[in-house]
Amino acid sequence: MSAATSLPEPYAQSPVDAQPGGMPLRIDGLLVQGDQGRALLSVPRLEIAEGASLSVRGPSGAGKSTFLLAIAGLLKIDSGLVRWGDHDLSAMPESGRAQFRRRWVGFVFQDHHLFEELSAADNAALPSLYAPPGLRAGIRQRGADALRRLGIDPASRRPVSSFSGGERQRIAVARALSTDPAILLADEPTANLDRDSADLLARDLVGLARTARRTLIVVTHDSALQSSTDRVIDIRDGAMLQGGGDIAAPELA
Amino acid sequence: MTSPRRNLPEIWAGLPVWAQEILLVLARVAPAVVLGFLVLRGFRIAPLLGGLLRRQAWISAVFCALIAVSVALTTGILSQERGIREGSARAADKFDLIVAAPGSEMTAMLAAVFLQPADMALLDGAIFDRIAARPEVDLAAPIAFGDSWQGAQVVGTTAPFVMHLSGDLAEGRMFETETEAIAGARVQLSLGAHFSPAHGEGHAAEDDAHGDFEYEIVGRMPLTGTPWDRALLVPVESVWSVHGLANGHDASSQDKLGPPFDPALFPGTPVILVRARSLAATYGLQAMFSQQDSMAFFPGAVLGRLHGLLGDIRKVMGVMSVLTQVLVTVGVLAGLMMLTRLIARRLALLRAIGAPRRFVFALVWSYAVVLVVAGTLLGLVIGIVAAKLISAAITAQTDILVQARPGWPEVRMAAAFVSLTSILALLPAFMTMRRNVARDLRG
Ligand SMILES: Nc1ncnc2c1ncn2[C@@H]1O[C@H](COP(=O)(O)OP(=O)(O)O)[C@@H](O)[C@H]1O
Ligand SMILES: [Mg+2]
Repeated sequence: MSAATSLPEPYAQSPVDAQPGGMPLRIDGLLVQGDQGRALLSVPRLEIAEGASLSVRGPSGAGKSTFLLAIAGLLKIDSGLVRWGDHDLSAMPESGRAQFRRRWVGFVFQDHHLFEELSAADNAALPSLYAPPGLRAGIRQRGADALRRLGIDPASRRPVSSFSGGERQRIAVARALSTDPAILLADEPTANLDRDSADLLARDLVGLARTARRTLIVVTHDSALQSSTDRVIDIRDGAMLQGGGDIAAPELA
Repeated sequence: MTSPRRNLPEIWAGLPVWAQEILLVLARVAPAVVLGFLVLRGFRIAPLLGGLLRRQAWISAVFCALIAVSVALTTGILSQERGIREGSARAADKFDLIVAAPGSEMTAMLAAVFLQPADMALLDGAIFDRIAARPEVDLAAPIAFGDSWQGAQVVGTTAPFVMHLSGDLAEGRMFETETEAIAGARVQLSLGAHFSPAHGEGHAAEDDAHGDFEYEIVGRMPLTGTPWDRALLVPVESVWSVHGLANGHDASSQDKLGPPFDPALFPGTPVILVRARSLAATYGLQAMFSQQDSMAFFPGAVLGRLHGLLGDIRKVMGVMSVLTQVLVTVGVLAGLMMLTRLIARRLALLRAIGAPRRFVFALVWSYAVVLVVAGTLLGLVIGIVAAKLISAAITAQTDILVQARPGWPEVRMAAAFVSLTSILALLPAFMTMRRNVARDLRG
């Protein structure tokens, strides 16, 4: 793979990166209910190999965000199994799931969710504020590297409020990568961007995931982004349609 | 030789006062510091906290100001009461023992120390002579008030008493004849100026009662910070003469001023100030002259009773102001809970990307504590400044030098307040920690 050689190394050497590459996901009989007990999401079975990438699509309100929140451990799982590698989220208490996210998950949102008053580098290194002291320098370093790779000068002290939408979303991607996560989750990351910015971001997101063999799950309507992932599945009315089942990792040359 | 093992109370008692005060303050902030350590341990809060403060600058400023005003109220009351107590005690400093005709000690004290007009019976020459003749008496001086000039008391007394009050004169010399007078520091008469005393004081003053008797100012006392700064001090003989009485001396020494007086020619004085050579002697004199025809008392002790009353008032106002302070703080914390709703999405984002609950907790808590600490510091300053302004007004009104200065009680109060509120601030922090992250993220 040609893109791989152009990427900086630190992603592979981080102290967080105990196991190289991504993490496999296994879901069995997942059911998430809303406040009134209404079923918001059901996923009978889904398996994703480590390092694989997956697009999730479906109409608005179908339950795509709910799906992402559930596999990120941000929702109470009413029944079923959600397991990342050896980590069974469905059996973990809230604190364990937060710890799991901190260590393994990078999250990118549709609305970039940056801290407007901070600089690009400070936003990218946000996880260093609560990381153990030994990991802080690594997070800052990787955040800056990711910014550079995404075309943003990490030395700039401008508050992020002065950046364009596409730039801000790239800063959010750099933040997600700063902890060298095994898992990258993205919720409509290109939805608020113009065509060119969206294409650029889609390419970078998939490229950066694939190079380090991170498992990537991205909710998107963007067909360009969909076609660059290994697989696309549909969620409709809270249910995962055909396309579930097993998703293998791509062959890497 | 100190004993090798000393117990804690001894060590405590051996410390200098400032060290004790600092330790007391530290003991009061300790809960906040320990809490801060526990809550913030392992986190870098500052960048996000700074952002939060900047983003919510106006609301933060208003909350901070509310806390400051409530803290200022308590600080001001504490500092003001202490200033009044110290100022009035200083005014009474020179008055060791007062002998007066039996009656109200309070009236006599207010009349002698603070020159508050009062109708008092007179002590006769025999009593004065008995006091002045005691070997342990350093100074026995008649203090005869009743006359005035344009609102300023004209007080008849002796040269030793003037020296006792003022030390060296600020300018001029001591009075040497019955028509000479010494002015208090704030009297608007210069050296060489003449004035005619009026009988009585205020509205009751009869301007022409004393004919065309005139005094000349020959000296001026330095500032004493007491009502005596507005008084005119004249030879007691002149007060008697003006009223057509004997002047305390027999025909052979008519021009003499000051003691000894001839008891038979001593027309009387409402108050005698007595200073003895020792504290024990002062107590002895007090017992000796507390009799049927005279009372002797310590103005300091009488003033102490007034201070007790003042202290009670301060306590009541203090309780009210502390209540205000607590209410304001609770209000601010309630406001903070609403504020945290405004920033709920950001907090949810932090949780979504893996920040521990305690991090969000620490962020909200330290935001509240920063407002409280800033408000408290500001409040201390405002309280002291307000107390200084009020003190200046009191000084202008009463001539009692009242100085409000920051003191340890205020610092102790502030330290305890910070600790208490940092505990209360756990509540809004706890509430935000329990919010539903997924729901807040959807915003
Ligand atoms: N906490 C909740 N309680 C009840 N219904 C919810 C809750 N959160 C989301 N929903 C509903 O669940 C459905 C799926 O929402 P979402 O996953 O955000 O859809 P998508 O991301 O596909 O647009 C929607 O109908 C939404 O209104
Ligand atoms: Mg959505």
